[in-house]
Amino acid sequence: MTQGKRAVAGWSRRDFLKTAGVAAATLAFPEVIISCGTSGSTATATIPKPRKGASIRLLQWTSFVKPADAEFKRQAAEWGAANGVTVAIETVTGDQLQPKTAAAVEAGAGPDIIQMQYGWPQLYTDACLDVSNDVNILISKLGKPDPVNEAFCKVNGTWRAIPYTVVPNAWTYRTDYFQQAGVSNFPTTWDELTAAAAKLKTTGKPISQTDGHAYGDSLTMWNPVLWGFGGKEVNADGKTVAINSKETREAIKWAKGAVQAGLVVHPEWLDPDNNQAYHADRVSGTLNGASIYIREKIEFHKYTDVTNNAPMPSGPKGTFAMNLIFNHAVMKWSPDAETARAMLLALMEKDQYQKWTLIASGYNAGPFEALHNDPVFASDPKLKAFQEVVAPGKWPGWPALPSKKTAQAQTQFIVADMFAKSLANGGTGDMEAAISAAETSLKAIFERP
Amino acid sequence: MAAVARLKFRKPGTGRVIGDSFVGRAIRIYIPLLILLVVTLFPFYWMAVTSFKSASELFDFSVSPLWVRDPTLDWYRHLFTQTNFPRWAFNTALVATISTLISLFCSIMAGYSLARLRYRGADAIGWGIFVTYLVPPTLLFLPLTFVIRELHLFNNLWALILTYPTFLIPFCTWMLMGFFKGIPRELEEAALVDGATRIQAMLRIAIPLALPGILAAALFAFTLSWNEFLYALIFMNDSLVKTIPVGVTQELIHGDEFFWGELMAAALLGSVPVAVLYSFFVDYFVAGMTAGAVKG
Repeated sequence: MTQGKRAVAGWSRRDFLKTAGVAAATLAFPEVIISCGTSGSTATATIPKPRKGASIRLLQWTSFVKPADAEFKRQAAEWGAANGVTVAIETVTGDQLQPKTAAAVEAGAGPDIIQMQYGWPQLYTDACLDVSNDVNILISKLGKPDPVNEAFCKVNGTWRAIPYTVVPNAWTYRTDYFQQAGVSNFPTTWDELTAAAAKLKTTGKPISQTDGHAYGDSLTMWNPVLWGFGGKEVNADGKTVAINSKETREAIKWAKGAVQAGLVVHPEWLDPDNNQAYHADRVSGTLNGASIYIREKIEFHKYTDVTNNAPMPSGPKGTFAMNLIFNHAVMKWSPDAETARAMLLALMEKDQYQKWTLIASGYNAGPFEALHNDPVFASDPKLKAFQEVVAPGKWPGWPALPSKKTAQAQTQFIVADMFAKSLANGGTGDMEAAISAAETSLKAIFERP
Repeated sequence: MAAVARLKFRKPGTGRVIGDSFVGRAIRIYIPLLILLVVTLFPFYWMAVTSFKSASELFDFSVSPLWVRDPTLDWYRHLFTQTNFPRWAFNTALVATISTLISLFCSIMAGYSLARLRYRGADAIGWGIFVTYLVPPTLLFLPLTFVIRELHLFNNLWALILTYPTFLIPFCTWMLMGFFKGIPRELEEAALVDGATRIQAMLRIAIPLALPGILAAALFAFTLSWNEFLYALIFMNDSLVKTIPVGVTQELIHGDEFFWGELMAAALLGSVPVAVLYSFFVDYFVAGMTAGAVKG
């Protein structure tokens, strides 16, 4: 009410002084003060300045697209040379990033910047510097951040990481097998996917996906299925476990029907396995990042012409997706934190960023509004699906905000295990037992004081 | 024993020993040996075959994956020209050799002392060393990270050279204790009576007699160091200071795509030195294993 009255009444004296002050300061020091206008915020932001002679080390995962890593390193080195800063970029596999991060946090020493995957800012909050100032600068230049990046980066209202990228996950499929089976387009609903899976089964090249412990492909498949039917692990309060519901049963019933019809699930598959199965001509479709398509296009040239990509099908409650989300945290132990922040801001400049995404060939999407219409997705119509799955993206534990507890539930693969148990033995697993087990595990996490 | 067996199990009327025919030998020796050979050598064969396949052949499941149609050396070329593999191999050898030497020195001293010198608490210390060996590196890496930070050894091969003995010394000490206990005490006592000091008795009597055990311990220690992954992953950052297990996985796995040709070439080359060492010292190795097992 008070806010409403103030809005009607117009500017207060405080508003006037604040705005006039920011305007005067911006005019006087345009290079150091930026007014950040997003969401009506009038917060000021100070542009961090690199220290000549500083040394910055950044740790992140090895991208599938090797030239993209090379471009990232080139840009960082170029910025370092221009500012008299020594920059070292270390890349490790996704699986190796977590133990390295945990060790660095434990020791209170290590890289100045660490790539945070999913909800790591929630896990390592105390080690991550407050970068709200820097995110505000980016917001003023690039517009709103993607909600998923924001949810992961922001801990209790404070930005603990700078949004970096989204690795979109969409379906990659063989148009020749689909045509052969009489399926003209990739399904747009989960029920259509069941029908398509039944037809594709006759070609001997099924639609296949993991329901095992693949930290990318399993989560990106089974969470959206659950959400698409209205199911959820926990309520928005982040405390009340809600997995034991009619909606969850609907989602699992769909999955059981799809498997009985012809969708093939592989509990033994990890993230690389569906890529290999596709390259080896053993499946007609699978859910993945753009890596399968890009490798076919760049390296193998075997099924490029008969490969296409499609966004996530919809369920009764809408279309949902889950993508891999990476952000950069500046670590508190960094002796040159300001230089590290300055470097990250420079790398997120639109021109620089889109040089990198162009080389990444559609494997990465930008996490800010101004980066959404990236020319890379227009360069190849088959990449459009990967652009389309960014907007409906959610995070594990949704609708609860990311937290240590949602991260724990994610790393325990509770949702994927629930589906896997129900889908065992050709889709005849015990659904009630699976839901009950998931509920017990989730309660142990979320309802713990 | 063999003569006794022949006397006992000679086939009536023929004079032939039961089971000594070709079929018998095949059942007793050759077939189990063949199965063992296939099981143990198949991974090497698979690595070798995969490393010579072209990119298209790697994913072609329409033909048998056990053979190579068009062999190529591209992956090996790539490994040596576009990665730091030679440097990783050098680092691995250096770290494994020095940490093995350090561990052996400490373990011989500790093993001899615990086996021979009767002081209070020797047994408890021996068990303590054994229990220490049981603590998994996945628990130890966090406190060790703190130590390495304090020593300013991150990204330095000394971090590995100094941390590997934390799991090598307990293992080697436990193994060598068994060896030293197996050497008749009277031999050393005779030397002591003849005027040798304790150190001389150890150097000239005990250690030469325990040589099979020491070589077996060295082989174990070298292999464990050569293959170690977790500490090398945590403590090393730059490509030029990585070891083979870490360098290979970090630079030949990109996102969810594995580059199998290079990976298999690197795995094959990485396993050769250890295989060569084993082939040279296999007799000592077996002697060490059995002695450590029954005399501990």
